[in-house]
Amino acid sequence: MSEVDRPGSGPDLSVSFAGLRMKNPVIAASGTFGYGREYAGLVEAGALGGIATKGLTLEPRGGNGGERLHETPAGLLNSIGLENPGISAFIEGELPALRLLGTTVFANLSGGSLEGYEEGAALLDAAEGVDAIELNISCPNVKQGGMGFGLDPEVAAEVTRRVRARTRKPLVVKLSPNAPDLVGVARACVEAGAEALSLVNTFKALAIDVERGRPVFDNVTAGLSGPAIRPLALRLVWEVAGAVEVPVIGLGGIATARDALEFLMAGAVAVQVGTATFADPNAMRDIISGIRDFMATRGFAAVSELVGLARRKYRSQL
Amino acid sequence: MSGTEKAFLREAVLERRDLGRSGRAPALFELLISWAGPAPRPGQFFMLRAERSAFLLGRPISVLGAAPGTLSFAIAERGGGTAELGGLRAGDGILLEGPLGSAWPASGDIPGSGPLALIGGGIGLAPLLFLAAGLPHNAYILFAGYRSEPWGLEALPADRLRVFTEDGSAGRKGRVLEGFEAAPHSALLACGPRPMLRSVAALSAASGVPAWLSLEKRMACGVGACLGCSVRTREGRRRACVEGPVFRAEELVWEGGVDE
Repeated sequence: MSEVDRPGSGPDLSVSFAGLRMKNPVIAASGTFGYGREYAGLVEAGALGGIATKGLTLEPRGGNGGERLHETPAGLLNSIGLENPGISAFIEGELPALRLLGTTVFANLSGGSLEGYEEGAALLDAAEGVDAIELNISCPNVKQGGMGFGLDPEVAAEVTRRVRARTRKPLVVKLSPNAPDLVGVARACVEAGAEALSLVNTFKALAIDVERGRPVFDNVTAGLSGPAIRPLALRLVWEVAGAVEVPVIGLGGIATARDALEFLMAGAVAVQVGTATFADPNAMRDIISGIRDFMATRGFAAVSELVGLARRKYRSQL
Repeated sequence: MSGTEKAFLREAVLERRDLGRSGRAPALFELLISWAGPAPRPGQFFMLRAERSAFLLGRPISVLGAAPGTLSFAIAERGGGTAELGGLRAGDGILLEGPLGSAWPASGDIPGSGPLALIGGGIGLAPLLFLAAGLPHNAYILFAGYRSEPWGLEALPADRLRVFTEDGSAGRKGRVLEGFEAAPHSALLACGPRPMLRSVAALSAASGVPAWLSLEKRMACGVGACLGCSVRTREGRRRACVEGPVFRAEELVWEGGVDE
């Protein structure tokens, strides 16, 4: 009968890319899963394919003042501003527990300067338990650095090259959808040594408090995530996956297995899930089981058969 | 700390009743909900969202009362999310995540003698009513401030209550801290509007009577992951959903507002 009826012979959800092997293609997105233990008791973190940490900077950061969250139709605006304890404190205080969860650890490296990125990369490179570095050049909520490094191909290539020189760990560069030429940025990062790309970070957006007659956020703009951005993110994943040879991790508003399958079929080798976990802490578990069910009932034996499927079908129609 | 004793469950609304409204104040209502998860301690909160919701995120709501198998919440209609909760009726599905956050201090954590002063303004009374319901008769005095008609006091002995209304419709006319003296109390436990909390913090500092304040913040995750509810303290940023919502008043940094 169907694959699901025979234990041990179900579809293989594991994925391998950039020297990493994950038990399934679902990663908790940076900034939505803390350092892996915040959801203890609600989410079985060890069942996830991977966890991307909250954005880490060389020095501790307090993040932004004022309002930090604002819900919008099918979306969430955030202006956290990279609040984090600093990379050394992460390595000492959070990583020991994180690495015991039995999932692939992506340390999200953020920064306000090239030197900060370089020194941070060196610390993470030396940290046992960090499986890969996700270089964040796409945070829209900091005044210095962040997304400023991800909008222009040459600038993105420079920070990627500098970080690449400081680590032998797999390097994923997380891209901003706000780049005017995202494919150009993607290609530049790959040429500079990125072994994989993750996209998209949040869209720069705005809300105004009409009662007070002023912007909701002290920084005026904030980053939009959630289902509202999903079709926009999917389009960008499609374009970048078609333009670069390295693996692409897709994210942006994924909340269900069907959403995740769209990104895989568009060419992503794995997906990240973020805002959906806030709405439903079971979201990632349900996405993993939903992908498994889909594969079993349709006769897919490996995730790689799904990756880029829609691209192949599209090409075959030409 | 609440540890990891929390759950995310689909439950059912058992009863919804109005708690009144006055003038331009937001409508207040109470939801009684089934609950099969871990019991909350007074001061803790849950993330609440209608099962069929137009919204993405739950709303953080302090517990008003708990009994075996049920929880109750007092909710003010402040925006779309809380209005949606207000539209629920008995039998409707509701998603709850919790119990979350810090609780009011246990009596063993409070030095000194004298009754606790429980100081609540408006919807901020909810976590104090939950606390008062479990305290011995002599252990507290509840200073309850309302815009108009009081609610939630039915089960408490009248001699433990000091009721204030802004329109004078019940109790004393005025605000809850008018004429208040900290000295007779072992501690001040307060929840309500920011200016009221700030005044309680100042009274605590001036009198030396320790104070604990429950803060209201917007939240996305409720478990410490998103850092959307982070507040400034003397020891750095702390999360209102994990280290809070109940904080020692002296820990909080108020310059430019507690959250700025």
